[in-house]
Amino acid sequence: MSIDRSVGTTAAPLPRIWSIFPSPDAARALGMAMLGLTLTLIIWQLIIVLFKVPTYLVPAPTDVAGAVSRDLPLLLEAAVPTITEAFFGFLLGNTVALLVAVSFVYNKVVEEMFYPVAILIKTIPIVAIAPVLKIILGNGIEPKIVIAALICFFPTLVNSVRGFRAVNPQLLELMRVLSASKTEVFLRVRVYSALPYIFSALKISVTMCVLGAIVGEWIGANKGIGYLLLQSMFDFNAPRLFATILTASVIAITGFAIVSMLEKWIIRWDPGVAM
Amino acid sequence: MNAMAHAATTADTGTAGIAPARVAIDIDNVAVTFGGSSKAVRAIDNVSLKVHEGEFISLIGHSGCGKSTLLRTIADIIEPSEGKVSIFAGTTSSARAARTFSMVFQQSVLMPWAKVIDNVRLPFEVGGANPKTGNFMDPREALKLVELEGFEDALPSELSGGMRQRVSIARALVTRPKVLLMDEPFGALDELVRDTLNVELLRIWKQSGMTIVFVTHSLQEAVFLSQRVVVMSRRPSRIGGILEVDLPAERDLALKDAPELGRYVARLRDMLGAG
Repeated sequence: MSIDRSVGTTAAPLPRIWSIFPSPDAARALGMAMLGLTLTLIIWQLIIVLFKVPTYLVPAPTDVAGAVSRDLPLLLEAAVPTITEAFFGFLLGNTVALLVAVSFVYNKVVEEMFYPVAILIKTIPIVAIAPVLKIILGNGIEPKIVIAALICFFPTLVNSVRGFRAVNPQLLELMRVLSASKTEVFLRVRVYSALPYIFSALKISVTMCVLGAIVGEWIGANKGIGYLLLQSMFDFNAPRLFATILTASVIAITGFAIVSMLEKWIIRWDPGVAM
Repeated sequence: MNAMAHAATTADTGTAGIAPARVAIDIDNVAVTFGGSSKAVRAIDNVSLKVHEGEFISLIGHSGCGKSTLLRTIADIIEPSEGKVSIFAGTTSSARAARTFSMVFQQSVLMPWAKVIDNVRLPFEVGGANPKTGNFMDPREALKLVELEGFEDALPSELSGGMRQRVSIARALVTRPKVLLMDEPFGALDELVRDTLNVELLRIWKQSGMTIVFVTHSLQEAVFLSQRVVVMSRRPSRIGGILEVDLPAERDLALKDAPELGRYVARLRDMLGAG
């Protein structure tokens, strides 16, 4: 995961407090994206209307919009359990991944033994693990949280191990000259060096954990976005199906936006500059 | 402190004139070997050198000749394979723990996430240092010494390369070290900035009475700054010769273009060729 940080340093630097608001560059990028999205929706609408595609196969954007406004209470009700599962899965998966990463960085043997295990877990498709977790953990919220956590675990593990090691070697020499302890090196140097890596992993896993929660709901749930997706499919209610997909997407995008804002708020230095 | 520095500079005129000063660093028959027994590389071999208190001494040699290795051995970053280094008759590791010496690297090695003032304060906050007993300098005073007043709250990325290097010098000075070890500190800076910092370094050296060991590959810089220049031969590196620089104690930028400095540079070049 390379970290791309083309921070907009072209204009005169604004006071740091304003940096969470979009710069002119960012505003333009947002405008172009909105334009592209609008055009896509118009083309979609035109295709449905011109080729007379039946609504029960593919609904037009206007049908989806109708379903959203009609089924809004239903969608919100479904969103609550999914958000809860995704949120706790995100916390669990990332916390465990960070702890494991720290143990890897400080103990070579642990890394040699358990990195292959982590890769093994990663190679098993999540939909294959899901039934096992259902048997073990039952029909409640637990298996969904664990699936969401599993899906978050690997990207954060890999990135944070890399991040904790991506320390300027001269900074480590300086810490040695200053007789700093391992804990001091970790808290004052490694954590900060890893933060950009950790955040790029969190931005991946925040969208993945929504996916994990939905997959978890597919194998056994009577509420949530995953359940509503299946129900809409069985009912041939394509507009509601699309409205539910849209809801899942909004949840993921909101999570991404929150993590991005946290990142901007925490990482106020420019990690791309060599010191 | 001033008087002592003055004594050291004026006493330098004779060949054995610095005898009255205490030995600050005693390098006794040191060898450093890197790598395992099968493909071991001997970086430095058979190096003995006494650096006197208050002296400004430069190490010079072809790139990769082991001058940085020798400096890192003094700084207790590398352990010598043979021989030993003493600092004020004690071990290098006790000198490190007591903050007897500070080190300045080729890069500024600042923490990009920390404000300038927090970077300067780092030596107080790690390695069990206690500012109350340590006779340390106020970090603001250290910044004043390198002419960076008013930049306390800036981030390193907001400063130029030369200013960053000044911050790293302030960080080295803040513990009032008796010995300053500098590893090509101005090597990455452009010539104008290097000239200015050369003059400032001499001013700080005279004010403080510190002992400075300065690694550089610039012959001109070595002559301009030093009382003695140690020429190191190619790998395995030994001391090829020592040049006493008998220039006035008061040195300003005009000296850089003076013919007497040129003559010393020419002699150094001869010694390097022979070494």
